[in-house]
Amino acid sequence: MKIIVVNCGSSSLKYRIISMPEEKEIAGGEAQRIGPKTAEPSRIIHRVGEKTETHLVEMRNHAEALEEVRKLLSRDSSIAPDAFGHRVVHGGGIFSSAAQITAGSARDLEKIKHLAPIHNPPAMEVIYACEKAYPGLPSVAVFDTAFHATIPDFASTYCIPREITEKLKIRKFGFHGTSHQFVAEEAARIMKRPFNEFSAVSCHLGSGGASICAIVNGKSVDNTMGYSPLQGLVMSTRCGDLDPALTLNLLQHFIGSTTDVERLLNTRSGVLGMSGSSADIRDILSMNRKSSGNTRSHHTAEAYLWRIKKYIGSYLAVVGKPDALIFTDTIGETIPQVRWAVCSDMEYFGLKIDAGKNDHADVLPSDVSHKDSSIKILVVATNEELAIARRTYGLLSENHNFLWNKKLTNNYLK
Amino acid sequence: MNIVTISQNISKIEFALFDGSCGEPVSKGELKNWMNHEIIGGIPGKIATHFSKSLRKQEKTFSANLVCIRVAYGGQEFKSPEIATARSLEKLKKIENAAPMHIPALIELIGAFKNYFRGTPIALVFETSFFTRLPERERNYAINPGLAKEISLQRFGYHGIFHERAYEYCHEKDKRLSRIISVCLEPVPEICAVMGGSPVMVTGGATPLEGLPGETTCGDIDPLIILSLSENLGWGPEEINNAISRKSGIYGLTGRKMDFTELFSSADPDAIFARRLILYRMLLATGSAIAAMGGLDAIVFSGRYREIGGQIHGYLSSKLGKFPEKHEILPDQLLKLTTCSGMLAMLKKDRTHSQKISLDNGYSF
Repeated sequence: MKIIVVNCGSSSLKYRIISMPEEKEIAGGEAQRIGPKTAEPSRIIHRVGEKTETHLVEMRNHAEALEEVRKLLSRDSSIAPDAFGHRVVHGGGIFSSAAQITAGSARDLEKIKHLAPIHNPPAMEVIYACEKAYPGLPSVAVFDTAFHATIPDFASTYCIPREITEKLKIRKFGFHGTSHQFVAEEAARIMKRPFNEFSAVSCHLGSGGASICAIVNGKSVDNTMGYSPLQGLVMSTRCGDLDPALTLNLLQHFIGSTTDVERLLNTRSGVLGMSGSSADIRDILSMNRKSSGNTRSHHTAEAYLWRIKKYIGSYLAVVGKPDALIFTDTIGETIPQVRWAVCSDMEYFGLKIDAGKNDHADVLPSDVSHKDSSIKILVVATNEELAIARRTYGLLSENHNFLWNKKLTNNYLK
Repeated sequence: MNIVTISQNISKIEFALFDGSCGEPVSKGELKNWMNHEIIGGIPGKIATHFSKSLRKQEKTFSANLVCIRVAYGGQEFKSPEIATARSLEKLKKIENAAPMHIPALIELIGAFKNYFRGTPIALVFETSFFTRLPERERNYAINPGLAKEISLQRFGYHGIFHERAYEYCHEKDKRLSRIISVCLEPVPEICAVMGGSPVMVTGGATPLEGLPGETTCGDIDPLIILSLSENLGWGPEEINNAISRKSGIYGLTGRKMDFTELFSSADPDAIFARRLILYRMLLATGSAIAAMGGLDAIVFSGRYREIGGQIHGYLSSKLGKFPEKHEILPDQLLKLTTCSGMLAMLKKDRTHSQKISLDNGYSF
């Protein structure tokens, strides 16, 4: 079965065609700069096997981007897809596992679109565009929140009046679940442990979003992100944790405009807001190395690393006896300085990083723990697309209906 | 030496009179709903009358050598206790925006005491002074520093006097104890990691709303929840503030007013859930504190609900293998004197002010 995995960003659309169950990637690419015109033209970088080509094409929205991708794919019948796997960031309280898109599930997805205003609406747009471009082909939504459905109530409940949390369905959802689950499964495999007996703290440190997850016996028990992907760590443009009264102060400052406050906290805070110079922590760490301290870049780097270290401490306490501490995604995989800073002085928890191994963790997966560390420190490459393909394949195989039961999938456009 | 201590929050003023022996207060009382412009001017007179009446029964007369006013928030402006002068009142005015409900009324209250107790020094002791030493990495929120300054957006803890005393108490017992987790169990509880006498991590934030949930305060929540309340319920800042500061925490979870002692003994299912949740949040904070200090030597409980410290210690020990076997409780006597002795201790450190206070009983500082 050839599955197209579609991963929508706010202005991008990544796709990969993965042949399952062999888990072989046969084509892929990325549509970039979707939406209003920018300094550089919109384009699709498309690759089949070893061959990569760039197409400059205007794409006003994600539906148009998908149509352009379809045209490229249609040139080669050997990569014609059998099913779609969509990354959907927020599954709300409705979806606790991957779900095949039907008229009913599409309606449910519409209801929770507002919970992730940057991510869910473009994903929905593409889901509809796929049905239009490939009528009847089964689509599966794989949710970032699904892995966190096991977070216990005492960890997912906010202490605001119950009538409000019940009415507005407010609770901690947690995000990056697909990635946390993927790297934790990989780590368990490396350590030759059954996943349902594997416990870990997983750090998904992306160049954009970042979160840490506590995993006990293969189940997520906590995540630094919360009701939305805004809570938790300091991220590239997101503030992470903030005193609730300060959000109120900001509401007053912006004369009640929730849109202005939301934009400020989501797109102009975090590393960018603190440093004033870059949203990429790699730039800030590099500036900090060259500066003499007490600069904005210094304070930004310190706050970024400190927050990660504190949460690692929190989750090591929660997990109790973890098998591993896992680092993944762009920053987690490639910046040894970050791993070193957040793992130093953690011997109390039985955690000790090896400086030499950490500096040379170029081939992944890699074990960077010191020989005296009782917890393995692993650097594992995440592969959300493969994880989505696995879930999609698993669900459709389970249903045994992906090729013939078109009734399930049609009509959700209406 | 007679010391009048004043401790106030939005709803009430608690006052006490100590005779310098650092024992029980000679007299004490409270006034509710004090934050009214028309009432504030008369408060010192009411307090003096209360003390005079109770001393008359002991055939003594009331006089004051020092008035100590506990101030919950002093920002970065007040790094130590101060004798209230025109300059300190100017500094308080500067930070008015950070606590708009509190500071204007406080300035008025200080003025009323200066008027009534003419010539008697008025000492201001700030809960936040201890936290002016909080490292930048802990203090800063991840937003633009210009905006942070404009809206006074920095983390402070709110039970600095408790944490400082807790550290001193442990360190005096054993000088090797230098990495302390101080758990202040007041209606808004707070956990602080104190290393070498200085705070390195604290659950409280720019306001006491952040951190652990309290009896009626929400504790940590996703910032987007505030915006969701505004958008989905059409609430303005006042209504939201009321919900997250007066109707949340234990009250929000159980639907009834309950203090921490009751919460930790109740068999009510909602209370059991709330207890589980708060213990879990304490575990998270404890893990952070250990990471922040690179280890842990002792854990101390203080505050009016300090006796539930044993239960909390038991829970934390069951989760953390290497946890200190015993916990410390800031002794009752020290606790009763926290306000007074804390103020004296803090003033003692400030030599410039100690010169200004004449002492009549050899209780020098």
